[in-house]
Amino acid sequence: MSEITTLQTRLAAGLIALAFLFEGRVSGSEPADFLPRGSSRPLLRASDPPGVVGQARLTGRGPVVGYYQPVAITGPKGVRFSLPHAGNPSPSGMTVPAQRLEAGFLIGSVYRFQVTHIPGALGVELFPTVEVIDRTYPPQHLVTRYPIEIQLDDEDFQTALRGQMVTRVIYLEDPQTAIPELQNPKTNVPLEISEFQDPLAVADEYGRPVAIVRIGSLTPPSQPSLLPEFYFGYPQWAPFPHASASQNADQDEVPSELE
Amino acid sequence: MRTSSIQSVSILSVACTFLVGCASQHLSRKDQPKTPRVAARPVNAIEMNSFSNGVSVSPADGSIHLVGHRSHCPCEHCQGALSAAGAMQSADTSTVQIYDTQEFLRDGGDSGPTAVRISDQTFRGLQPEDTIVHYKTATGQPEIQASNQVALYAPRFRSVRQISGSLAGGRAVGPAQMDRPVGIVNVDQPLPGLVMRDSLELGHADVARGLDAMRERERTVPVESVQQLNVASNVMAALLNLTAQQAYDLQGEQKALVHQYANAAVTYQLDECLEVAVQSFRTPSLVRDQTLDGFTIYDFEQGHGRLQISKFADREDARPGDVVTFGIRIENVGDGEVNEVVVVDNLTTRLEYVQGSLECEAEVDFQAVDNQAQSLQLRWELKEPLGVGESVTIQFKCQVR
Repeated sequence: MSEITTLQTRLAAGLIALAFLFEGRVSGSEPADFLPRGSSRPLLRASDPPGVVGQARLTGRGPVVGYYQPVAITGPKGVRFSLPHAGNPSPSGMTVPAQRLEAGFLIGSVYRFQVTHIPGALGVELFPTVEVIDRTYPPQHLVTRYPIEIQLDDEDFQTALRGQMVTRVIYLEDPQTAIPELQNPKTNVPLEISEFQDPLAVADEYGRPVAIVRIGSLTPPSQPSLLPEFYFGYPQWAPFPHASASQNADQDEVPSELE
Repeated sequence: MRTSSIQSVSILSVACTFLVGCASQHLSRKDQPKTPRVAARPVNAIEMNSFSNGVSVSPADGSIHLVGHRSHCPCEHCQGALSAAGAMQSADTSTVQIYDTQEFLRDGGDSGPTAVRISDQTFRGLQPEDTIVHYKTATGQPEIQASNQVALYAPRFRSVRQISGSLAGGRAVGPAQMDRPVGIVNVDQPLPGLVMRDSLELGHADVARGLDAMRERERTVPVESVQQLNVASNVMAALLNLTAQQAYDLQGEQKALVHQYANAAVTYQLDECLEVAVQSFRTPSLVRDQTLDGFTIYDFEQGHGRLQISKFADREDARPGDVVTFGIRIENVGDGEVNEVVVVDNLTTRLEYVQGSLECEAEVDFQAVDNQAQSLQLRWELKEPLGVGESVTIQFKCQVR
């Protein structure tokens, strides 16, 4: 009888210890919680150096080599974007700052653009990079009308100014699993993920990743000889045929809704 | 009695018009000549097999396009805005256009599983994007007909954001990864100083050199393996002779069959032609069309009603927030009236019905209920039966999300 009582006591103690153990485990997430399920491991990750994912896409299927994918970058009210001239840059270096940056980017190349007039940070400049890793296939007469829309918000810039790294993976949404809400600058909020997750893998679950934007606080080097490395060799880009018209049309729309 | 149905004659006329060289503009169904209908008789309709593959209904105006001839048509409509639905099945092999279905909003059709009606108000197997019409014939037989699919180019981009610590740049402030726990489980382990000295490269190389394996490989390259090529060529020659002997060695029965089939093929080629009979009156001239791949004969029962449903949109592309007008046209192309006509349009996730935008020619009971795609399922039930040749057009607007 005493042995049974002792056994029951030990069982109870063990259950209590297990309960404490599980309580401690579920209280917070660990990096191991975000390990990929199964035995597979992706070859490409968003944390790869800029250009790796895009270059890998060039070896894939489809007419992607030499294709200038139209991209449009917008931001909060007042923010201006400019792009370095391709090839041999001029002494001024950058294009005219615009509120909507539109250009055709080569897949696999990395483009570093300049962000100025950031709200709350007068005189501060940021130099994010954009890497187009896949293209769209619109009808021929709608190529420049439907670029890849990259909408950056104020949190991106403020986070980068704090010294952290912001990685945005833009993906083409699958209409079968689309979010049932009207998309506008207010509702187009990004899907926030943990530091231990791969944004490229998450974006691949919801659609087809097409671009990676990396926003940090890196500034241009003081020595001019290091500028080509900083701008990734000034890759070629194509201006939009209707860039000026669409830019004027959208300047009044986007900022007012972001306010 | 063999008569052709009005539908088949009209389709055949349209196809012939395009085959002549697209001489006329697109034939709107409303502009087609009214042909007297033949009812109350068994009907044999003749329809080209290639018609359904090569013709699409324009979502803009409901006109019929021969897709294979579109690029050669000089008219402004053909060279201009291509309908997305037609473009997705472009048959122009010279300039093949690649499309991604994820960039299109599709609405219409009946994707699997096939929709069935299990009660007065409930359909099973109705997927988002499906558009069908359910009706009953005069004999009480229920039928379901799916519409064509309308596609709008409306890509939508979203993003995934990850905020992490600084990865590069000496000017960055705040290493955010300092708070992460660092494993200290290996601190108490002794440093492998002796192990480093013991792991000499020479001692390891003596073991892994594998001289015995090298000798074995040298010894196991026999001369017989080289001589196997001659053996292989002899085998091939022997097989060739064997094939030739079999080919010429026909039995007596096989020779008779070969002669019979050869005569049958010659006879079939001479008599091959297409005959069109209208109202049991055989046409005096025979139509010979060498490009015709075949034909299908549909036998319809007497007084059997049949509905044709087509769907169209007023634009081929849309941004989020744009309003698209959809139209659904149902027409009784059979030989008897149909009853209990119910049109169901299951809107996809990114389409939001604009309240109060419904326009319908006939009296209908309209319902809009939530569906599984977090949008609406639109239902129209006609109050009156649909007679032979009658049609109803429904228009409504949707906002692209």
